[in-house]
Amino acid sequence: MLHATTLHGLPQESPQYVCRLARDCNQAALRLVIIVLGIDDPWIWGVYLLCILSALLCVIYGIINWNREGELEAIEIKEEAAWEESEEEMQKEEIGL
Amino acid sequence: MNLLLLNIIILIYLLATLYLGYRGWKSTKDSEGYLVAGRKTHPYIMAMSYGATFISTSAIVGFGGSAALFGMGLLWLTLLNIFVGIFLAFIVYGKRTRKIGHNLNAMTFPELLGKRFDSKFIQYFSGIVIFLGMPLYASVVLIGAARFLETTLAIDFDVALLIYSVIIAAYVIWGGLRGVMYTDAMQGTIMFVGMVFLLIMTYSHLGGITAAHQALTDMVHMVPAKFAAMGHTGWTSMPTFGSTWWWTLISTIVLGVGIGVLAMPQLVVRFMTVKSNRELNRGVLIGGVFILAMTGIAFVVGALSNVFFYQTQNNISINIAKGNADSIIPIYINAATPEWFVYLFMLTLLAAAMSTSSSQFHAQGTAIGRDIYETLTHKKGGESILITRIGIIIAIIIAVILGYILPENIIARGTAIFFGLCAAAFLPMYTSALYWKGATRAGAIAGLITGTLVTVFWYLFIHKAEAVPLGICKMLLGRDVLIAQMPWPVVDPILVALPLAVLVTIIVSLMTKRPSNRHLETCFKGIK
Repeated sequence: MLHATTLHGLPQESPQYVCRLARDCNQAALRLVIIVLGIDDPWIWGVYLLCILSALLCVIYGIINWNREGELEAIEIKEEAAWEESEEEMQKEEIGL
Repeated sequence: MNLLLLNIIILIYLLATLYLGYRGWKSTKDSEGYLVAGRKTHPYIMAMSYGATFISTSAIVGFGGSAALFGMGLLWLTLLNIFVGIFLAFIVYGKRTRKIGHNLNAMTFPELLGKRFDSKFIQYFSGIVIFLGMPLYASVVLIGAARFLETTLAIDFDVALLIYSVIIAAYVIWGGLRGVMYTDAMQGTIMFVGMVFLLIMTYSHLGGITAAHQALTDMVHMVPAKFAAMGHTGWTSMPTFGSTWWWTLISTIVLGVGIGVLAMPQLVVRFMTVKSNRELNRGVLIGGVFILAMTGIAFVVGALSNVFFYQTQNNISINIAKGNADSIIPIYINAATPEWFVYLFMLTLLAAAMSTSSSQFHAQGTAIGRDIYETLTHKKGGESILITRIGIIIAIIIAVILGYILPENIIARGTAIFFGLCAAAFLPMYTSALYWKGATRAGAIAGLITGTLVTVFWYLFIHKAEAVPLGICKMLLGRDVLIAQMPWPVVDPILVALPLAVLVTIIVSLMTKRPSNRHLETCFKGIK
């Protein structure tokens, strides 16, 4: 079994060692994704994961902004009341209620 | 087939729909003020309503069938559905649409655009585009539901279409116009539960995520030679870059529908009905998860249906469905899931069709009544309302007739055509209406006409999939398409019409007089 210091034959502190280690880790992670998802094409497993991540993005955005921008200004309340009234009138006329 | 159980389930569903419709309507009437009632609207209701309207039988049955054909590459559309259709639509477009819509007292999408650019032409021309273009989309939603009924009840497609049309027409005419979000939310919930069950069942049936996907990957040798010749490389890999298969997947299905959603009239209107941006913030959370559960699951299951049919019948889905991709999901559900789930899924599709159809027909009705008739005649009230009602009935009749005459394999394509048309015609004008004060009336009109005409021209003379069956190019010029050299016959109009419309909107706006500051102040009041 290889010891960490002898991996790639480079001293553990050197930048090249860290880069290679990171690259190896990335490759191992990619292999793991391919094995777990059973999909070889990065365009497909990539989008499979991106779909889940984008839904997560929506969830995080929703949680962070859950209570933001809820307050209406006084003028907006007036406008909305008038707007709602005319909307209701239009609906009444349209559906005959 | 236990018809008694099926009828009881459908009856309970319809009664629940009626009850919730009544409750939603009554709560609005009984409140002290509409504003208070509005503030009580739960973001779950709003987001599910948007999602249920957005996702129809077309997405589940039509595009699910396309996924069985094209493979998991369709997930790029799901990504756009979530990121563009929810995240960008709610945050970038929704908030400003809500504010400007309120500032201008706009009730419909064409009215918002017409008032923003102070142009009646924009309002009625947009109304015409919607009224003429939407029947195709409305029709494929009906077809999607009818295909499922046809397979499940083993009845003739024509009879199935008639049954669904009668149920949906009764719903739209009697209660759908009230725009009650409670029913949409219930329908969205049923859709969510149905789809999650479908995913769990599919994966567990095929041995789990890894085994199912690996089995699909290993099926590459089953790709028919004629598909491989067009660029199909398997169900878990992208088609060959630049091939017919690739252009169709990317330009027509992914971009056409993925971008077009931003300018869908029946969806834009929903932003104008929310009371504050807070509802939109919350809606993003629910909408994102909902869309993942809808199109994400439909496309994964659609692709995996190939594994199921390969393992059970040594064949691929499209062959099992005798070449009609629209029938793949219904056949798969009936073959691979227990009977109780078939009923649940039928409700899922009924819910998906009802929630989308009601807003489609309503959008067409208001397009002809409010946007075309009122704008051209300056008459409001009685006659306009009558025209709106007649418009709705005509829209339903056209959709049903189209349902009978449209060919097979039409659901995904029909949806993509309407989404693409909306993107090219409305998106440049809509985006500049919200974000560019320098956009002028002439620029908006030029962009609208360019987007519409280039799209129509491209379908009639260039894009082979439509130009050949329509035959106008052949009749006028004696050949199937104007440019036969690849890749033009397979490039979707959106890739040409949308950039051209954007360019024309910008150039003409820069060359013409900017709107008055007073008008702009009215439009952008309260927007920082």
